[in-house]
Amino acid sequence: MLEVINQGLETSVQDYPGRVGYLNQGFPPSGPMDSWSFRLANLLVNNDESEGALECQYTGPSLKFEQDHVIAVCGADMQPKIDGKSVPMWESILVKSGQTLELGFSLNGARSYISFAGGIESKLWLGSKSTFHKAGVGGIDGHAIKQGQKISLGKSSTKPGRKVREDCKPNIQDSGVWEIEVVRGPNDDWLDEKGYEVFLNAEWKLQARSDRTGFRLDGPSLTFNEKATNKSPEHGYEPSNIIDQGYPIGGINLAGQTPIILVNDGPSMGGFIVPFTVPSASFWKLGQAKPSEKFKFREVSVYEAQEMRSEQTAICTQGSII
Amino acid sequence: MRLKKCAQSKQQYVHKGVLYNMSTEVLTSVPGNIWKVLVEVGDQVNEGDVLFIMEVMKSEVNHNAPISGTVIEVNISNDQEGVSPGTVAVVIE
Repeated sequence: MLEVINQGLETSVQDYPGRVGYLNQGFPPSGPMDSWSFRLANLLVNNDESEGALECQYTGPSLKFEQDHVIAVCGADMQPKIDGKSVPMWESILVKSGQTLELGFSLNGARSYISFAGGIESKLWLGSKSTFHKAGVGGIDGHAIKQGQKISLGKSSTKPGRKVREDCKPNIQDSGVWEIEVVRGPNDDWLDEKGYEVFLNAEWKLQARSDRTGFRLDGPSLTFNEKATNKSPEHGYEPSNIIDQGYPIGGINLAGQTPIILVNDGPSMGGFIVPFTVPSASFWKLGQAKPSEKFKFREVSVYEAQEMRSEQTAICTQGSII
Repeated sequence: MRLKKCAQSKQQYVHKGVLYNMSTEVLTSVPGNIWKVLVEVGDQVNEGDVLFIMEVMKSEVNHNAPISGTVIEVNISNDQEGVSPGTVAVVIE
């Protein structure tokens, strides 16, 4: 059991890969935005990679432990401390009964993950522990964790001092520009050639009004094919409108002239075109990008996107822990 | 949310014969935009008063005064974008 002393900013229980299989009923998968760091955190404490853990965003929580427990912190550097003393990340550590783990604001990256040996005990909702905060389902009471709450932890014994191999960590850089892979489509012929070119050449700025539902981007205006400008009225008035369709996870939705990347808690359908889609293997970069940082998109094939995912899956195994 | 941990205190010190009182820096706790600055230099604030509000993830993040005192520095402005966490936003003495 642990007690939430300070909740941080929308800190929530997530599991991997989340609530898969209900998008047709309007429920997104949720789950960790940086599933690479998340899985490594679970593996460090000898959990299954899918086990429930905490996702901390921008500024982390303070948690008081009521029993000795082995934990790990991976992802963004939120300067983790136990009773005021700095502790390493990417390594399993022992927190003793009565001690408080505190995460501060993020120095590098945006999302940090705290895993607990034995996982977090919370009820499954549609087969997953993941919190879908906006809908109030999953996790603990459906929402992000709150001050004063008690969180039940599973029991498992594992040893502290297990580390992630240096070459197996995601490179959470701080250059301010992220290269994000995209696959063209599903609406791959609504922009004109110049529109696709401008999209791929621009640096897009991540707006602060971005969350686990959508990432809003600022950048240049895009131009359209005749298909978008001369269409039957049921498609809607704007060139970026289309008759309602299903959205892929990672779809880059064009709302007027504002691209919005639909991420883990995003909508399942709507009436805007989706000229590009971010593949799942690139999601960790979205999860670690901070407001006002820039995205530069690089087009890849579906085959390349699948290769990237296979490589990441191979990294997120016990072979990366020493 | 209260963000006491994002405040830093300085000790009283004497410089060129002038006694300076203890001042406390209020740091930004998240990356994002400054939505509203609610204080000006010279304002008297009480512990817990909201000094400024940041916007990140469509959420408002209040930054409160960790101590009562006088605002002696305001280094942020309304609608300022892309502020890094750990920036000295307000100084209270």
